[in-house]
Amino acid sequence: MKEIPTYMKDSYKKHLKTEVVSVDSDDNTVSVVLEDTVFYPEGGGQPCDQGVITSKNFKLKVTGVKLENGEVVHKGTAEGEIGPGDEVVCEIDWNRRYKNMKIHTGGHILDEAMSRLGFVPEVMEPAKASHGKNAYVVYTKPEKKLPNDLHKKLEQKITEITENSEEIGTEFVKKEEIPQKTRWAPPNLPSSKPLRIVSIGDELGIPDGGTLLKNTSELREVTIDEIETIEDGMVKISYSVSLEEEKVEKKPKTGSTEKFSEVETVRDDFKSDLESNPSYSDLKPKYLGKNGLVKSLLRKIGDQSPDKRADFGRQVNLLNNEVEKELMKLKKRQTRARRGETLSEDSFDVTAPFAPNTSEEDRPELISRPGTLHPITSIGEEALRIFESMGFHVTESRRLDSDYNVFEALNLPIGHPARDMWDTFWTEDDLIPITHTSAMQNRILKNQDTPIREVVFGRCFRHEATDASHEHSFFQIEGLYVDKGITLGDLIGTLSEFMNTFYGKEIKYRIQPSFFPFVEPGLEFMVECLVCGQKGCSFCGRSGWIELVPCGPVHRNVLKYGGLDPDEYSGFAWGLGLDRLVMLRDQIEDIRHLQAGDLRFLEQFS
Amino acid sequence: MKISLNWIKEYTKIKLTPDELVERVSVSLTEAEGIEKFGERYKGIVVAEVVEVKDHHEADNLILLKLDTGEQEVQSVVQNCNVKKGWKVAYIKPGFDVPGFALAGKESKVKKTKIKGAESNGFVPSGRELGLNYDHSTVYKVADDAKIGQPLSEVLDLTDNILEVENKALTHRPDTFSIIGMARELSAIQGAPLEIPEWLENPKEFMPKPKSEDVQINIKNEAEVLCPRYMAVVIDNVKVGPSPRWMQVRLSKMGLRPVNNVVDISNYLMLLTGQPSHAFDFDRVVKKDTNASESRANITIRTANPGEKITVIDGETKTMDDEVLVIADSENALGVAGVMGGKDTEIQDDTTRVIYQVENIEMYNNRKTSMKLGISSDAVTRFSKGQDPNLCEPVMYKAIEMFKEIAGGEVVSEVYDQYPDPGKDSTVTINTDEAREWIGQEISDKEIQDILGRLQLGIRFDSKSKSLTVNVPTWRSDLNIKEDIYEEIVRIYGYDRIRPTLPTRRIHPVKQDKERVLRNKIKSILMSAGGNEIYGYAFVGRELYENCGLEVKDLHKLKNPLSPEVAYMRSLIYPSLLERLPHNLNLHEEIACFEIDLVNPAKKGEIDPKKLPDEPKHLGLVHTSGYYDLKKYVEIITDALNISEVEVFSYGQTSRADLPDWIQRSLGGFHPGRLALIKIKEVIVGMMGQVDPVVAEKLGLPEKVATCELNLDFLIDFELESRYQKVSKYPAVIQDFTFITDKDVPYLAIENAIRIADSKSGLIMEIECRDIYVESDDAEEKKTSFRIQFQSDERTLEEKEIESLRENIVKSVEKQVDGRLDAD
Repeated sequence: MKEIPTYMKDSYKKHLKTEVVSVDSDDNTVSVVLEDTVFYPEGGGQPCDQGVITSKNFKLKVTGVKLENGEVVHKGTAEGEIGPGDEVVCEIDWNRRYKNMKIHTGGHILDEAMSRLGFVPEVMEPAKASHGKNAYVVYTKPEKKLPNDLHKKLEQKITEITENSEEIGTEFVKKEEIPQKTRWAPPNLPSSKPLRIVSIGDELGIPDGGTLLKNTSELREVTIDEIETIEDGMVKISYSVSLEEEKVEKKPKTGSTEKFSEVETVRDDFKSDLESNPSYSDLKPKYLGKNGLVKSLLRKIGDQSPDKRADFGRQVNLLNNEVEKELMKLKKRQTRARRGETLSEDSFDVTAPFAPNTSEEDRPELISRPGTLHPITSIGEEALRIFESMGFHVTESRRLDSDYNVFEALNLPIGHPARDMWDTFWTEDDLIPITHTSAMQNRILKNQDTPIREVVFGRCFRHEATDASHEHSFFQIEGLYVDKGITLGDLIGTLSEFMNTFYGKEIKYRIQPSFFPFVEPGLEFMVECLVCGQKGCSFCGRSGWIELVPCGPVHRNVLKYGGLDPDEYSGFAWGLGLDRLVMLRDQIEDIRHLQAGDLRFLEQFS
Repeated sequence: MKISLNWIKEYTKIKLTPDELVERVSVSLTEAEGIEKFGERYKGIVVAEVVEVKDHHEADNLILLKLDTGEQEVQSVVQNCNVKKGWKVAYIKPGFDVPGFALAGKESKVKKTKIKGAESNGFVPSGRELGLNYDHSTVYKVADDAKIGQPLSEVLDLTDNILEVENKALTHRPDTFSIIGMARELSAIQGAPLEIPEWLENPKEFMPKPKSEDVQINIKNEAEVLCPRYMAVVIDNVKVGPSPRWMQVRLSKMGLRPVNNVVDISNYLMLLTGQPSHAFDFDRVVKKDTNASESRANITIRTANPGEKITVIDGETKTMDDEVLVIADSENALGVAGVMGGKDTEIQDDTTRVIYQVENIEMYNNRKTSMKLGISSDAVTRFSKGQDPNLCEPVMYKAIEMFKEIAGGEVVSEVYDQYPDPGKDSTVTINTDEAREWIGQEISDKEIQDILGRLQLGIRFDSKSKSLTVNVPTWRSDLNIKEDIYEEIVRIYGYDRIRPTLPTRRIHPVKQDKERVLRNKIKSILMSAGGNEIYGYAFVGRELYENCGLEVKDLHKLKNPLSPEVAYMRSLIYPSLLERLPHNLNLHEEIACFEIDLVNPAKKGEIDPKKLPDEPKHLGLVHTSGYYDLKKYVEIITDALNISEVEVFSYGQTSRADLPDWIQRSLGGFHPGRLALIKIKEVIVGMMGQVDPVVAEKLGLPEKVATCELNLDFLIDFELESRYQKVSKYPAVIQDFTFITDKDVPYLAIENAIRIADSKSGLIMEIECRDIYVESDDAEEKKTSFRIQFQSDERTLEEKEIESLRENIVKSVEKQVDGRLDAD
């Protein structure tokens, strides 16, 4: 079972291919546990998903999904046979899911509104909730009296949140992070699993495992149906959400587009006021104050003739919303600007060597304990200096490069299946964070005179999940030697001499065939495992050998692309994995240490 | 990839021990991961006879079997099924594993136990529980002539060594994705004889006459580039059912699950030869096609119509575009060619007529289709490497034969073969002297010929000119150039036998790269001052940038990030440093961390595809003790690089619009009142300052943390400036000054006023700030004390001279910053 099932990571995923972990059946009900699932199990007040689980010979109509002993159990009626390890496709009833998601999200927006109004968790805390047919959130007994117009305030706040199109974000955190990352969390959260927190907009979130919309604007309306005090003084807020599919722009009915000059005048005034660089504290009373222009209009709705009343009311309300929104923006802008001003006033003399009145012993001094270089730097430099002593010129590689340099010029035309060997990142402009330092080969071949003896170091990137021996970012030292009469023996000799010098002793090596289209043949230069002395350990995968340097004679097409005649020149190239070199030398067990920025690790390399 | 060595042995000998084999395959072909002893899975499983079948009194869905295991009579509880008295079944003794469960990684030890009150001693598995087929409807029945008590592995040829090889390095070797191909390799590697079956070499001679040609297929190939060869035949009277045990066992050993005899024949031949094939249900094909009849099917090979949909065998519905190759009837797609068949025309239990197709598919488009539709299959694994079109015919022959033997099928149509441009053998000519020169090893002509012969490559050798022409069969399409032949020679000869040499070269001095020299110099300065070098990811996330008050909108964004935290290329180093600081805070009282790396600045407008964007080198530095400590580190760098024209000025004094674009975009993380810009030779090269308090709070940092970002590309030329100054033999004179100025006068302005006073005489050797004092927070004035060292390298300074200089300094300070000498 996956630590985090898919339904928690992506509420919009409707189907998934996975494997059966176990099957159980009694009477008419079949229960299936899957390796991963998109089915949300009943819980957190939210009803479960329904749908089907199918394979070639099997179909389960899922009617109930439960969390039992930490496993998601899918129950229902089945046709056909299924067993552990079988591949299945699970697919949820999306309409039901989307409806549940909307109701559930409505509850979160309600709670968010309560929080932004300052009631939660200051005055009361969430106690329980239901996001099914009758949706509600129950809060603990408030510590002070709730305002009489809570209903209205709450609805206004909710409208603000939905109209603001705020993002609903989820994040997985460890239990220890909960206090900093949430505004409130229930006690007794499990610590064994990563916990998910849900947040709306820029605010702190709360722990939650349910399915949610991505953006508050997807909910057209959240209505507060009732606020009532129930047993033990707890407060129950019932709500409902609009379940219509599309968010429809509220437009005045056709035929009633008549504008009211009174309303338009206020609107024009407001617009010109906004342009004249106003202050929030002046503008707010002018328009929204008790006798403000907008509020006065609101009071006039009742005075209109019955046939115009509805239109007038709608237009005034529209204006009211507009003004509120603009003023809110203005307030935010001005708070920010004021903060900037305060900070500028809170300045000091940046040209001085120390602050005024600093006693002599408190003046800046360099840190006295020894500093450290990163092992990629120190060990990398050692390697580079050896290559320099062997006659190679050293430079650093580019980072973002073109498809031409990364693949095409290396004998990997577009569509070549071997491109799959490099899990490649792409930027939106179709540049590639280089997958290998070989991306520099074409430039070197074109720009330099033979004999070419060039070493290039740099960061490389592969789109792969990280674990103890894989990183999406790693370091390579590329070598390229091109001249007349270069032999395969020269490649082996060069790398072998390098290893002997680097490790300060004779290193056993072995050449294994491999395949990289820019060399022919593609080879893997392997060295003896220095961790276990070739007895077999986890570092070498129990083989006694470490794949350290993919290499080979430069392919004639690569020479041609570089403007050299392959019948006249030959050469070899390699791409030494610097991380591995470092790890092997210092017996570092986990590649992730290298870029984690943890001084407890780095300070060991002084 | 799994390879059954028992199967290989039908074509060549295995002379090496398992360990030797793993070693030799690794150094001559591809990494061999090891050998699995397949029979180990079936330890403790023997043949037993069902003596009696009884009801279970407590549960309808269970029954009791009384078994004769050869050793004793036992009772075992199984699911209710059609098992009969007298059946020979597989019996797993208590204490041994259920192979199907063990494969799924589940607890699988059989125990002596009670099931709903009935004693169950040992386990009688289904085919699925044995991991030998899909069937779970009944217990696994063994052939009637099997002996009671005989180990199952003997009855079913389960004692086998399975060689596992890494196929990543075989991307260019489509032939090795098969038993025949691996047999060829193992024969060459071991120097063992090879027996390729006749039908594979000369299929034409074997092809049977159809029983009738009553049924027709109207084949139209509209995409010959993507499908260079298409063969098909109609087979009638097919009885769909389980395939024979021996075939199921072979498929299981190679990691494929038996389905039914029709599908299994296709899979079996694919494993044997590398050539995928597919069977459609004829009647289901013609039923839906309005232009077809009971005796005439239409097959069109074409690219899909944009938006055309198909539901493939694994149940998923895919939407295709006009690059996807499909096998269609006259109207609708029946399958994605070379990828996966369609659900509608899949073989089912009631299928009797089959269209069996063997086709060749172009590799690039096959791979692209697989990726586009998100379907991987064993067929894609093979077609995407580029299979030999000449394999279609032998596979067609062998399939027809097997359909008859195993499923009772008879050919009732012509054997169609559309192959407009037949593939032919090619040649590559090398010169053995050149080969030796290229390899760097004396390998004799005889040995070269011997090696190529072992690889089944025909050769013609002219011993005078040393010209050797290699005949390359169609199944070795990877051999195109001389170097390909050199590789064949050397990998079989043995890389371990190549004598390592070093290239002979003219002596030449290696120029040092200036950027690297500069970077290493700065790193070593910072390290010797207690700095810790950190490497952060070159990727950053929106959250980090926004926490630092920075925008991500113009950064280079990844289309396919691994997660939101690593979705953009970083344009600055300091956010990464700040991000990693919190969990190091408790380690030391003060910490200075730094990193030097290329960065990818925010884009300005469109990216020109012909001109790659600049990647300046930046230094990022953080210090936990505050701005003035950080500033000292920046000074030791400029000092060490001997950069004299450094100007530091407050951000408050500048107009934002005057700042370079990258600086403007970088300021978000800084406290605006405590931020300094650094100018060298009139260019703003970076900034340093205290972190914005809001940023510090968001990142969990103490407020006083200070950070700096410098573009090192502007510093590249400075380390070359001469730094020697003659040591004067005349004494130095030291004088102290304290100036009172307005509190807001920057320190540097006062220091500059002092320097200006000396610009003509050049006698000031050093200015040291001794103290800065303000009476109280609301005081309007401050006192700044200096200790100044005067010295000449030509003479001893006279008192008068110093006095005049002193006066000049006081005047200059008065003039420049309206300051006065403190009388006290």
